[in-house]
Amino acid sequence: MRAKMLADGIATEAELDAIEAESVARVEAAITFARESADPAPEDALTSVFA
Amino acid sequence: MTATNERKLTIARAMAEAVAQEMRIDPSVFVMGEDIAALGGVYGNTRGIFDEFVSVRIRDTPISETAFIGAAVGAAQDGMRPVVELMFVDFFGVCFDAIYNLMAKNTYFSGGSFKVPMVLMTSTGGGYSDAGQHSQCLYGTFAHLPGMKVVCPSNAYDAKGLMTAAMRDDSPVVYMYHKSLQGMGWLATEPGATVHTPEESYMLEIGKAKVVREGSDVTIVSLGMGVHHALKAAAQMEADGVSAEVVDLVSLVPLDRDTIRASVAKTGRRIVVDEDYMSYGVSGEVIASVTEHDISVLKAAPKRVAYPDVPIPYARVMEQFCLPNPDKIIAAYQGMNAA
Repeated sequence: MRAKMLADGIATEAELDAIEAESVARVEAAITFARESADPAPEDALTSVFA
Repeated sequence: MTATNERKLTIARAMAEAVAQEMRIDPSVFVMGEDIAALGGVYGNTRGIFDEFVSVRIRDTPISETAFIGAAVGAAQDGMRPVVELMFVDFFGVCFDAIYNLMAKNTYFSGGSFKVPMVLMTSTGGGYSDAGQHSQCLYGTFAHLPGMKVVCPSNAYDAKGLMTAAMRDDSPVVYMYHKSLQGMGWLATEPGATVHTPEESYMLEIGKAKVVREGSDVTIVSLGMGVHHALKAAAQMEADGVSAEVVDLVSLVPLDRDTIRASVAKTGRRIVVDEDYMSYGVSGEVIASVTEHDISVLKAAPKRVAYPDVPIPYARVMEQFCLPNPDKIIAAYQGMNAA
């Protein structure tokens, strides 16, 4: 995919590197947030079944 | 102490042994499903038998439940006895036409001319944070619809006998096994499900419940994993001077209403424990089977310990909050007597 995009001139190496770095950072931030958050309140399991 | 002649098997091994023994004596039996062949099933229920029957009679399928369950219906009507696996019961959504409009109805639609002798194995239950598409029981969903027998073993002895009976039955049988009872090393397992299981082939009657613990003050009715919660609750209640009887339904269809009625007639009180959703399901049906028959036997209003009517949450604390457990059963009994 990366090679084809470069060959077809859709994006540059630098642009693809930036997209990749941003994606990794967002996922890592989400993992950190999940690990550092407190457990949800158990009784909240009974909410949000309907809008 | 383990008796010298005791032969303890997990439910997974008991299922695999029943299937292998039947395949040796009945060439019409074959097995299909996702990861059912070389891997031996995600839940071990065909483990160790692939080499004997190789790829001809134990077949891995693509992720194509509609196709392979539909193919099994055709094969069954053509004289074979397929055993097919729906890996998680939750996946029924993609293949219920094959299950319910074909498998369950073709005998009736043909005025009894066609038999559909097949077994649909499927895993049920949660408790290990596998969330809302991999943790349901859906007992009531299958038991509600006419045309399918439905069984649900709580231990290896019953699992083997039910599997053999299911393969020999001329009707489609939905064989619902609970993941937490399978005895898989990677999944927490209830030790009470691993029991003495004879090596020789035998059948357990489909449609017959079992009194697995005798008692006189209250009847706890359950199935599958719930039976083990009930037995643990009963043991704790005994310490408080309460004598609880435990009924293992074993089969949902046909439902052994006589055994339920006889037990409740003796104790006068009843708690139904069901890991499936509370409403429109097994717990209501079990209660109705007594109350519409003879309400005079009841000393207290019946109680249900069932899964609340919400999808299964992923967060461990939320899922454990929702699941039945022995403490909830004891609380239900105390609430019954406080009323």
